Amino acid sequence: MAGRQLTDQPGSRERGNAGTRCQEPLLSVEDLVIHFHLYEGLARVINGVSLTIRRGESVALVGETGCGKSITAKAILGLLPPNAEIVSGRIVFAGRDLRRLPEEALQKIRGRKMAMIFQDPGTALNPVFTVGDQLMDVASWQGASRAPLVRRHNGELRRRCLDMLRLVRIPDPESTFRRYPIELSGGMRQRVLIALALLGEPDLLIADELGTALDVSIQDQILEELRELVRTQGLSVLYITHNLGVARLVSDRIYVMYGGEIAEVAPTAAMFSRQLHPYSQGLLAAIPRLSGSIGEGIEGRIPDYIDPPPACRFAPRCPFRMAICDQQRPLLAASEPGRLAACHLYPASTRR
Amino acid sequence: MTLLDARGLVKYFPVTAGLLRRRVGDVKAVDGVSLAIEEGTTLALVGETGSGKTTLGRLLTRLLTPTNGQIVFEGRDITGLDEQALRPVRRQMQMVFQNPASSLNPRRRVKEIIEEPLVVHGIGTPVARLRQVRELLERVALPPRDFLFRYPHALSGGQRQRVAIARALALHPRLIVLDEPTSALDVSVQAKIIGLLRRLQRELRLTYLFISHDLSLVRNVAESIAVMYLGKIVELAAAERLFTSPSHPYTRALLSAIPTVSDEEAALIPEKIVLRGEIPSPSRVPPGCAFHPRCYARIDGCDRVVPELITLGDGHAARCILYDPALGAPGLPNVIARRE
Amino acid sequence: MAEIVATAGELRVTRTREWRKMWFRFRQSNLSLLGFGIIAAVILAAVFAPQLAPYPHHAGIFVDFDHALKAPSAYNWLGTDDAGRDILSRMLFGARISLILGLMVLIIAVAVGVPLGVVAGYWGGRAGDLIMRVTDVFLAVPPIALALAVTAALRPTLTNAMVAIAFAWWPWYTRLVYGQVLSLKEQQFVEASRGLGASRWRIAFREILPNAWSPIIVKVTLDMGFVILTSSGLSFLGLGAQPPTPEWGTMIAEGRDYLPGAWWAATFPGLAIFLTVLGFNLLGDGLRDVFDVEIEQWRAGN
Repeated sequence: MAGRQLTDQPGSRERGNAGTRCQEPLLSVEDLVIHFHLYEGLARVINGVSLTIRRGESVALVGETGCGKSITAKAILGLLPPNAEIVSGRIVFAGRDLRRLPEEALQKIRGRKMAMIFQDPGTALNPVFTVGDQLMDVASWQGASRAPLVRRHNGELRRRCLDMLRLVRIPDPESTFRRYPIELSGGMRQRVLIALALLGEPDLLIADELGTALDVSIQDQILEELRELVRTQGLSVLYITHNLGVARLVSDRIYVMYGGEIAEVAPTAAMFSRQLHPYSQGLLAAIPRLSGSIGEGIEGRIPDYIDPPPACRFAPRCPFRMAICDQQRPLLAASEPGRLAACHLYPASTRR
Repeated sequence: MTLLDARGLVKYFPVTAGLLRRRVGDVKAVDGVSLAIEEGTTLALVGETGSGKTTLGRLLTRLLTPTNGQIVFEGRDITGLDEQALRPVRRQMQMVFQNPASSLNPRRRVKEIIEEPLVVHGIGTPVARLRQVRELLERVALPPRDFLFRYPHALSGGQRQRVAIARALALHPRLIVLDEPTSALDVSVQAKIIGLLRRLQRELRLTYLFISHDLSLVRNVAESIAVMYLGKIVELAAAERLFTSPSHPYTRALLSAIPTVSDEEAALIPEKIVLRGEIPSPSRVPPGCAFHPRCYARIDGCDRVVPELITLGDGHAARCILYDPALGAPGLPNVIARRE
Repeated sequence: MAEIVATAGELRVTRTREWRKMWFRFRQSNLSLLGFGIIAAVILAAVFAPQLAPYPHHAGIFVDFDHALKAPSAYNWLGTDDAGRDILSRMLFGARISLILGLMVLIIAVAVGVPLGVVAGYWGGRAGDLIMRVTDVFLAVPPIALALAVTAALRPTLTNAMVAIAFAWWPWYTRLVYGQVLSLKEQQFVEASRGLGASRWRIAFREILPNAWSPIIVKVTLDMGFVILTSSGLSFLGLGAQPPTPEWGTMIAEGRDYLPGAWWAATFPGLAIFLTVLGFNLLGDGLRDVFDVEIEQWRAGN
């Protein structure tokens, strides 16, 4: 039932190359299937999702409400709710299958090697502690510097926290250190959240709808700064967003997600110049244009995960629907070099 | 015909401090706004946090009382009317709010929510009201059979907004104020709701005041656009004109920050302008031109003189001394710098 | 006409579905079910006391010193007290008294406290301040102390005890509702109603209050246990129900002197109180979990 991917990106299988560890993806999600046990029944939400992120790469996972992108992120971090069940699939981070790890090992990775930048700067920071307290707190139990002795020296930790604030371009880190979150603007708080995520010296950042609660110009500024920071530090980032404009700004590659499946994968520039999957096309067409036009939107609603469409989950809404779309699930396959699409319009997606 | 005419609207919220709650200052949410909306058209109010656009929307629907100024609706001065006198007026102007999750009473079913305006104004019998609710649901493309008895939490964002729109239509208003009606929605749902709103405007000859922070959206929705900053309108123009000749420095900065999805789109907006600092609080508005501390085209005098809204011709006005004829109206350097 | 009938039918179907869903969620917790079971048993005992009690006439004035202080046996499952009355029968009738008293107290407390809270929360101003300051004064005194003082001032009867406890209990509801109303009145749907021209009374009582019911219901359920405990306490001290009324607290007072020898006279009524309070607590917690999930789901926009 889960679609087999033929290849995710060129060159990802070249693991044999000596000394080229950067070829091996930092994060590899393989055929992830997640079911939710609800009162109404079994919701087959995530239906075979695969994605990879290389070291130093920024990837955007784009989709609208209910497509499962946040659930995917939570699965990677191991933060799924109790009624969720990972039925099959692997989540491989730095060569280790996260599903097989015990909770203590996961905790070491979560927050340190892999860190999340939270969405809502209004509520993600504890209002009764100063910024400095929260940074120091995280820094101390992250073992923010690998040398264990340092943990006992508050001066060292403090300096490190201040450095982090400087890194995220907070003017006057000293005074911000003493402030309470409520005294800071939304933009400042978001920067603090980024600093918190970076304290553990992660290899992978996961940003969930970064900046959506902020003014567009501030969001723009922060995203640009983050992009620069990520480049200089060589970090990998997974951006979860519903906003294609944001994806265009910050990512190298885009995964478009619909109905718990990956619909299309392409390098960013290619995705915007031409979309392969009808859903991606509809999405881009719906964006209001400065030249004065706005698309029709897409007919219909997101699939009912308890009783989903039998084959292609987008078929009921697709303007190019064919008979085979209701019979056979399209494979996520390379219809042209470097681009994947899961759609029967492209022969590679149809099994003979 | 001018449906709504506002002159010199001011709304200050007092800031109190100390045990005796003395007034120590004001939050100048709206600070001298005049605008007019023609019947059957859409005027957009655009701005960021602290611009006052939301407060202005509430002033115009008299959910707030102005500190100063005048509001004339359908030729009638509604500025100082009390709740009792306002009730019949409220039938003519309705509001659709931003967050569909909180603008619908979570304990009420869809039928009761849409019916409420009719009940409040004592219109029709229960049977007649039910019929009307069904008609309204059909008008907003929600089949009554499925939706009459649902609770808001069982609806998607787009569906909730449709219910909010249906509720706003129940009294057959002439003016609808839409406060960020699609900001909380996905882009494909947004497109459908905008399509619905446009259709309704045509069919029912509605007038819209569309409040938003999304410039590319209002480009597609409004005939004229007013850009606000810290309680004042800084630029007012026909939609197309605002995009082809943005005149106020703030407008240009806003346009330049629009995330575009293609190179053709990017060519339509100015080169990226990063403004210094952040928007000040409306309780501490800078002297002179409120924008001057962040302005890249600042000249001597900007920190002392509060500029008037200067007409640039053809319904286009900008609040900037660079357009003051007395100073020679130098205008902004480079009309519009196209990105290559 | 037909469409009204059809609509009513749709509504009924939807409502049934919703009740089933709530029951399903409630069933998830074993403790909640336990609480539900205990309270159901207590209610049944109270309702069918005359039928269930082996010696219903023992609940009133009855004396049989030949069978005084008999240990639990086949004739008297829970033994007899110092007047020879069957403890089980008296306990069953005691359930009636406790439940009715609890219900009456809370009805009064809610009827007085909730509207005051709504007025104070929505209208505010001087009236609101006045209401809340009075409430604060009442809240400063522990309920049982207040109830004690009032019953001591009046003649000690069950009815007076009920009045006294209600007197001590209403402010908690005012405080609860006040807080709820304060946060609810900032919600956009309230603004929307104002925009429609709805009157303040309508908004306060027909828009805001329905959203505050969940915590009130949970509190009422939890409070039942505590009210019963308080009334038993008063009766124990001789300030509430008077002998020979088979109120559990009174029974403990009467049986206390015979501990530890004839332990059953005081212990079983005590157990009854314990189980009833426990049952209401578990039930209340279960209800809160069910209601909270709904609220959280709604908040998460699911």
